[in-house]
Amino acid sequence: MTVDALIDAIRAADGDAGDGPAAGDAELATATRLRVMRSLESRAGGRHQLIGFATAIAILLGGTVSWALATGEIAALWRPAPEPRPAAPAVAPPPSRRRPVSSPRQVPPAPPPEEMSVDPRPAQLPRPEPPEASPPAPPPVVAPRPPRRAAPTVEVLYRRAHELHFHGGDPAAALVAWDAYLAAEPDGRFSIEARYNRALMLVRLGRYAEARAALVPYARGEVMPAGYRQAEAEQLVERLGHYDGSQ
Amino acid sequence: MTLPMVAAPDDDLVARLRAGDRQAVEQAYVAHHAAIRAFARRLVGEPSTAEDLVHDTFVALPRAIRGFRGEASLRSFLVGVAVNHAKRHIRTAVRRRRATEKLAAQQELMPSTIDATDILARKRLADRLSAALDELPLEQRVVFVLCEAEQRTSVEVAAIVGAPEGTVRTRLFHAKRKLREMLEAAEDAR
Repeated sequence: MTVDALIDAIRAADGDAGDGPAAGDAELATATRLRVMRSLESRAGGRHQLIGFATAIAILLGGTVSWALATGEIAALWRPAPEPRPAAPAVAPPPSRRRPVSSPRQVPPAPPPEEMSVDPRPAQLPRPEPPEASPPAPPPVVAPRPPRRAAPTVEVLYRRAHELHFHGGDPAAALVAWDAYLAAEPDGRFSIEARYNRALMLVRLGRYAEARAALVPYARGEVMPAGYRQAEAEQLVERLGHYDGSQ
Repeated sequence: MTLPMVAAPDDDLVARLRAGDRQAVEQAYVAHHAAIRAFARRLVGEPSTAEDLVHDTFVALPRAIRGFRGEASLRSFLVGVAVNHAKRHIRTAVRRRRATEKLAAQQELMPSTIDATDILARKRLADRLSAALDELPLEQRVVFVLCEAEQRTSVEVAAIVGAPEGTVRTRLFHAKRKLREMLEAAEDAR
């Protein structure tokens, strides 16, 4: 067989190579036409379903964002994470009464900035000496955000208290927020900082006896990490000395 | 519903296709399905697979029409759409053909199934034609079918496959040479 014969055979193979329908093709053509129309309809249906699904997702997303904006949750997400805890001193203080073990994977929260050290009522208490002996505050290092956990409520509570403490201007509200966090997680990752900050809010509210009682363990170096805010706590306890129960 | 059996002018039909009118797809089918089916059968070599290719071509039309520039007829454009969807169908047809060949070879060993009628002779010839085309690369196969079986000009084929005219001629030359070699080798083997 030559190529020309092959070509002739191909032309003749499907009903004399005409474009008109061969005998017996009419049914096939009708069946295929119906199949084409069904496929187009199902595609259109699928597209409508996709549009409906995308709309539902958009509504859900919009609602979630609106809720987060209304409740302030979204602002908490953008806030920087707490700073890392200062390093422990070379000499280890007596063992702690709480939190003897700290997980190495946990990111320590930020201690309150130096300017947030409470000046307990200058009119009633002697002004504290400038912190010459104490080491300079570490540069503000933004710690990596702790990984999201299964129960974010505790973290949200901490962030809310942190926000009220440093930016709220309302010690009573901050105290309530710290109490809420400590109630949810009494021995949690940030409970040492939370208790210290809570004590500062007590000072600001004039509840000196309670503040002093809360600060004594810190002044004695009885909390872990050893020496956390010890020097500042000693100064505060000393100045609050005469408020040891009778205000 | 009665559809007009005469094709509407391409411009009107194309405008309706672009607007997403499903009735326009049906009208395009009525006007051009025979030509597309003939091309599909020549290209694929197997009626059922060719029918699948016809189906895919018209289902793809509403989206493909966005690329229609009006430089060729709608029928040529549809052939181009079929070419773009042919690869998978040719592969399917080749697989089926090879499986059938194996089965046929087994049956021919049995004397009771030997039949020397015209039907069998034609079937064998059709199988040989398809088997020869199966050996060609897709581009050469498409060009060979369009130029030789459908007797289209190289300019028209170039527009359909979206390649320069010189490329079309080169593909046709290589396709013919390869087919000639295969046929000569088959004759020598006898």
